[in-house]
Amino acid sequence: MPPNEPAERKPSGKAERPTDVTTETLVADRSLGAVPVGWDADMAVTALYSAHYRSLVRLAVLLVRDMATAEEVVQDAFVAIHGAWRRLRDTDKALAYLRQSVVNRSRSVLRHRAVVEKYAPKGLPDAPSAENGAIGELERSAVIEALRGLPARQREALVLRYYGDLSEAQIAHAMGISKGAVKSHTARGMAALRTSLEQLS
Amino acid sequence: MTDSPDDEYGELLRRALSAEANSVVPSPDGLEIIRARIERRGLRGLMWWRAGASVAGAVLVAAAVVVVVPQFRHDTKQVHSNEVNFTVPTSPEMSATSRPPLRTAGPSPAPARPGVTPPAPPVASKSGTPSPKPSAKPSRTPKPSPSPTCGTTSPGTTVEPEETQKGCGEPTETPAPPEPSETGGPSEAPCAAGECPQDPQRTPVQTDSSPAPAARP
Repeated sequence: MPPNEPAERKPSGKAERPTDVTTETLVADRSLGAVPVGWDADMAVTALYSAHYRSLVRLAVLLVRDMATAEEVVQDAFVAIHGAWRRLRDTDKALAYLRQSVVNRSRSVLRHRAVVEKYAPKGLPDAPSAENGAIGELERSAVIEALRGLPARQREALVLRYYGDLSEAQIAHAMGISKGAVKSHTARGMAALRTSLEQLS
Repeated sequence: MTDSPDDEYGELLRRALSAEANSVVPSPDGLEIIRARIERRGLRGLMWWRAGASVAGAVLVAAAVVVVVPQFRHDTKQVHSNEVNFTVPTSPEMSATSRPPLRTAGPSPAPARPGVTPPAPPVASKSGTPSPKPSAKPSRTPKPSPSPTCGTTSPGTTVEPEETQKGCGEPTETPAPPEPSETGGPSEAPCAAGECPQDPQRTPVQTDSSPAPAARP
């Protein structure tokens, strides 16, 4: 994350964060923010892939809840940025372009999936695996399940905020909404998540 | 005290999301898949470019041919003009009905001929040919022309003399009328009725006019 926006990203004023929490390069505009201007589309895609592909796939997995779909979404985003590379005004914002593309495509996937699930026969719920016996796993699965029960916009805001570790401005840009809407979605999502987790406990 | 419930759940959420994300391992062949898609997309774009270029070239060649070869333009103009000619006569006829008095005078005899005096025109035409000869010589005209022309017309169309006068009026312009006038003796019998006197009145004037041009040539 850009160091000049810590206050905006962390309203609670919490300075330290567990080191085991990985934010990877979703926040790494600085890691590959400076894509050389002379690079062509192929070189840029290769560099962006090596730097951000994994993190973008993980972001997409959290949004679409499906590994194969998440990879497809991210690959589509890379293909799109390859085609739009010449039209990209600021190559330093390539990661922002990719992130926004992933969010929009994930939203489209979820919308399509909602329509399909609406008319498709409902199957049995996923059976918990043996690994879920651990307490941490239970907690984690409970949080993930509660997160999946949230509306799409609230889930996007929370994932971009707590996994991507993005600022409100970056979340607003990625989601295509205003900062105020980001705050609203985040607050409502956290309230719903807390209610859901309290009911489970 | 500073830790609000949102912060607790925020940390919980952050850990859960990170653990969930770390369990995801993307396939290693992602870059190859992306490159393959890019190539496919490029080929698709190239196909569209080729199709567009071929269509544009065809249109350009057609336009150049039309511009360079003037016959095409003339042909097209003629076609348009013909179409206009076909359309124009139809509409005036329809509009001509709205102008009966002026134009009916001219065209009226034409439709009247086929209906009433189909024989009259041929007679007139036949008399027209011999008439110039007699018209040139007023004395001769009565003998040859009257017998066949007026004789055929007057007896055959005894009921139609009035119409024939109109019809004959044209032929009489040349010879028919003069017949009765000069040959009043012999031809009076067939003419009879009160038509003859009318004819002579018109005929001399017409005969005067007709022989003059006929004699000139």
